[in-house]
Amino acid sequence: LASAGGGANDVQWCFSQVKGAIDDDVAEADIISTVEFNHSGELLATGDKGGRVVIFQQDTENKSLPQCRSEYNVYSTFQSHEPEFDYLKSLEIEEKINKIRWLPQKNAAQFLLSTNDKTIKLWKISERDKRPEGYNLKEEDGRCRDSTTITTLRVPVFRPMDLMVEASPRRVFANAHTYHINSISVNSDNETYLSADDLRVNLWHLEITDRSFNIVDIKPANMEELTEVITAAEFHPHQCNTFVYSSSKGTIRMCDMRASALCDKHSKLFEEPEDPSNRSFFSEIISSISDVKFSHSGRYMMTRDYLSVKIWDLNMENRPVETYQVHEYLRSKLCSLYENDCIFDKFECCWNGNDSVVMTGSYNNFFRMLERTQRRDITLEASRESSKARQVLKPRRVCAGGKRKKDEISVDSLDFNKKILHTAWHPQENIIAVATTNNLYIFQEKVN
Amino acid sequence: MAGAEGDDSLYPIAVLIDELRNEDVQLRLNSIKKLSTIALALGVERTRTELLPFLTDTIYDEDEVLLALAEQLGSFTVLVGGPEYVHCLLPPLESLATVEETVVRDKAVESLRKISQEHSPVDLEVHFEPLVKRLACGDWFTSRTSACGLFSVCYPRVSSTVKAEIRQHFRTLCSDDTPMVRRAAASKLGEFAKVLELDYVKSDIIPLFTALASDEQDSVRLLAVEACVSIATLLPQEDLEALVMPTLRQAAEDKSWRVRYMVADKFSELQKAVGPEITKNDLVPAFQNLLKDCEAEVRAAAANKVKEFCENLPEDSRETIIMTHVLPCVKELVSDTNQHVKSALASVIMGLSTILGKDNTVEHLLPLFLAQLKDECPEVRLNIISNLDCVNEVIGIRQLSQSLLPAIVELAEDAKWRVRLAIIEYMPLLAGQLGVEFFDEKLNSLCMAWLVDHVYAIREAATCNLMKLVEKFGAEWAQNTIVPKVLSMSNDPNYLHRMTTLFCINALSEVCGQEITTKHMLPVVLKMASDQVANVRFNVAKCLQKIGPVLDSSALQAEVKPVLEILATDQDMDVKYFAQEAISVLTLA
Repeated sequence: LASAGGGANDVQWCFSQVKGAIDDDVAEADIISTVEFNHSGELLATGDKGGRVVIFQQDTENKSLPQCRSEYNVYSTFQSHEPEFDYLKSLEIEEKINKIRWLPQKNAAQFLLSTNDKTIKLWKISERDKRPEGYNLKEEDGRCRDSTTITTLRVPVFRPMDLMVEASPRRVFANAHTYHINSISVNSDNETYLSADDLRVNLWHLEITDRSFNIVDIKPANMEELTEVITAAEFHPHQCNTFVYSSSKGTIRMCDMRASALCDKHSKLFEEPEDPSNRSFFSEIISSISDVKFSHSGRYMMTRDYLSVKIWDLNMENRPVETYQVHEYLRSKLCSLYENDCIFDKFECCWNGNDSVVMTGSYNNFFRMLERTQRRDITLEASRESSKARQVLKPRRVCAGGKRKKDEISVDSLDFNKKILHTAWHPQENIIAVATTNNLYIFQEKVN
Repeated sequence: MAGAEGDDSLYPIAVLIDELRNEDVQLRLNSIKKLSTIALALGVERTRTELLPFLTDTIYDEDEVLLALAEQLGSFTVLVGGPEYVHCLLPPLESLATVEETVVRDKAVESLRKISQEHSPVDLEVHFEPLVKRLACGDWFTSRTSACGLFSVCYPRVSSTVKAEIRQHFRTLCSDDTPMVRRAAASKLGEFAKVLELDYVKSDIIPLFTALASDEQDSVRLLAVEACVSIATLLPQEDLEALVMPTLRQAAEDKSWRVRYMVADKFSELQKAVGPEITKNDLVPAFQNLLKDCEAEVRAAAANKVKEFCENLPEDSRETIIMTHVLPCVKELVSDTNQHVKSALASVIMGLSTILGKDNTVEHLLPLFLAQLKDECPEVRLNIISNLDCVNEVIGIRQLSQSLLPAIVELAEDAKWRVRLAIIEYMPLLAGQLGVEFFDEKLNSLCMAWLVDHVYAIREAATCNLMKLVEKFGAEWAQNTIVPKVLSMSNDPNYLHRMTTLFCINALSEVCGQEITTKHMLPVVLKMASDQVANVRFNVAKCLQKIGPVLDSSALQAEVKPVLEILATDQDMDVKYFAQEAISVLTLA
């Protein structure tokens, strides 16, 4: 009864838009690899395997009409990274965009960092609505004018023109990562950011490209002794000296950059003791953390492992304050998920604007909303079938075993090729962006 | 200006103007750099009404173009009609002061500061000060950071009501939401304090300084340390204790190593600013703590300041303070775990000997020098060697030779060729410091031994070293000490050593002069032309080409020419080639 209508949170989610091609034939390059709102929520950026960044802008003209308020339209598209080849190591470097992070706005232009496996780039996205007119030696269309007829000098003047959005690369931060970059995070001091790969975390100044400081290095002297890798890293939203990084062993280390220049020694270690009854061959794989995100308040952080989402109070290291099962029904299917490599999927997670709900993805194009105060949760689906304008999303249920009820989906009929790894929540409003393979769905709260 | 018919003189200017919007950045840049030429041709009025509005809108351009533009506008006053119209330059500079690139903004601020001096007091209040206010209240932090650098130039020249407003704006920016602006304000705090009346320094600046120094972001706090220097200089001695010292003490013990690093880095300036009494009571213990800091970066910064700090201690208690407070810490740093710390110390530690005098140096410092000279890190050793001269002055050459030389000799024979190479590079310096007599006695044999080193890089460096030594000690010394040894190598069974002879002659002929070259070197070279190894023969050809210009024409014709002609018919291709090249270069054909 409680879940009638809107479900777990008292928000009713309805379809708003879907971006991307409709046909089933998916080009590899079109697969979305990251989704990120900017700090105001007015812009939404996606990166794909083809190295492109697409930025959508919220339609401001119709903002007064509540039913249309969240229409996002393409604002700018640009090729951020190109495929490269490392001749020294004989390695191809994919153009796939691993992460996008927006910088806090500093002037009329917008700035974002985008990264592939090796190279981070700072992009400026700016508008231009004027262009200069008037030459001395030629006409506006390029025809040369007779230079002997010049009797007076003309100074060009700026005239209004149609709005043009330009994306220009401002900085390229290269050659600092031996392994694959999995995270970038901008510091609250607005002048530095970190980048993390499998074994190291580097600290950069946003204006300096030729050097970075290595602040964490977990590479053992002998690579055969390697037992864990860094899976994600993020700066605290307010404390400029604090950052965390998660590991494949399910631990999260918090470091204080004030204590020393090298942060090899952590100041806090967040780790939940393993339940011995659940121990299996897959324990270590499924405990690997695929994403870590601080809450907007800076009090909590959320981690995602294969089967669950955990919320940690930064003041308590020995266990999470909240644990949510994302798709517990898969625990019995780990063997086949291991065989088809799905067990290594890296699901991300995100907070809503006031930290009361978290969202993360699952298989079969399902995504989960977990409401914190009342511990209620809901499963929704991003699908073409329910993509009529303002159509309310129906909650989905998976039958974990036993007798399948009406409306329930059996675990065996889940499509593991359809997975939602990347989601984003508007920083203030109830608008979410959900990336299925090559489509971006935008859902919003139903307004009555 | 322009006549009725086409005017040829306008053509180059027309090109320049058109290139202001060329697609090629380099051409735009060239045009911007010749902006004064364009302005001159347009005349002051058209510059004001047409060129400047155009430039105000060009902020979409590349950074380098904007940077050049910001710089040009700083010296544009004459071109817009002199000081009376200088305010026309404000709009373009205002828009440049809000761009995201720091270098461009800084240059725009620099130009604004420059032209502020050309404003009359009235214009300053009517045009300039409103611009500062607009920037200070701007929506984006870029404009607010730019404003921080402009307060100090207008403050001294405006009325007291406007002054009050400026102080208010500065206060607001010091507590801005974004750390970028607070950092900009903190970095200009000292400069702004300098132009304020002393009462306001106490009532306004001190609270701001205290607040910034305890900002939640360490990137802001560390900038307050810099401001501390200027503020302390401005205040009378009796106020320092109450107004500045609590903050400074707090900074020296800050939780963040970056703040402590800044204190260490600015220590000499701080020491001068607070005066001898506070130095004795407060800074000495603070300095000891920094030298013992848990973060290596801080220790290294403090170690760098050891000499300067000691030099600037009040004379009456200098020696006691150094001996009882500083030296014990320094002794610990000599065996620090971090090589950057040791190397920083090694670069200044020798300077202590002049301050402490002969007896203390021999007793306390020499053991430290020796320890550092034997350090495992080459950089540490080199820093010691390159400063030997200051110790030489204090304790004299005899003492030095007995204590330090064995360590240097040991390094000269180090198993790592890079270490040997580094020592060779310091030989000319050492030779200069120690004098010819001492050199002959102790180091000469080393220099000759390097010539037959088994690593080519060492032999090459040794050759070059000989040349530098001859430059120091003169041709006569060369003839007596090194030339015979070099020439004797020409009979060595190892062809590599024979070639070294040739390389040495290449390097030495010029510094040794015509007589030595002709009399002693040339015969050896010519003899080697019949060497059985082709590499030696073609190096003879190359050598002859090199020393040819030093020889007189009779020697060239009578001795060099026949040998080269023989070599030019050599059966080896390379020998032929180089012989022919030498013949043509020396024009002996």
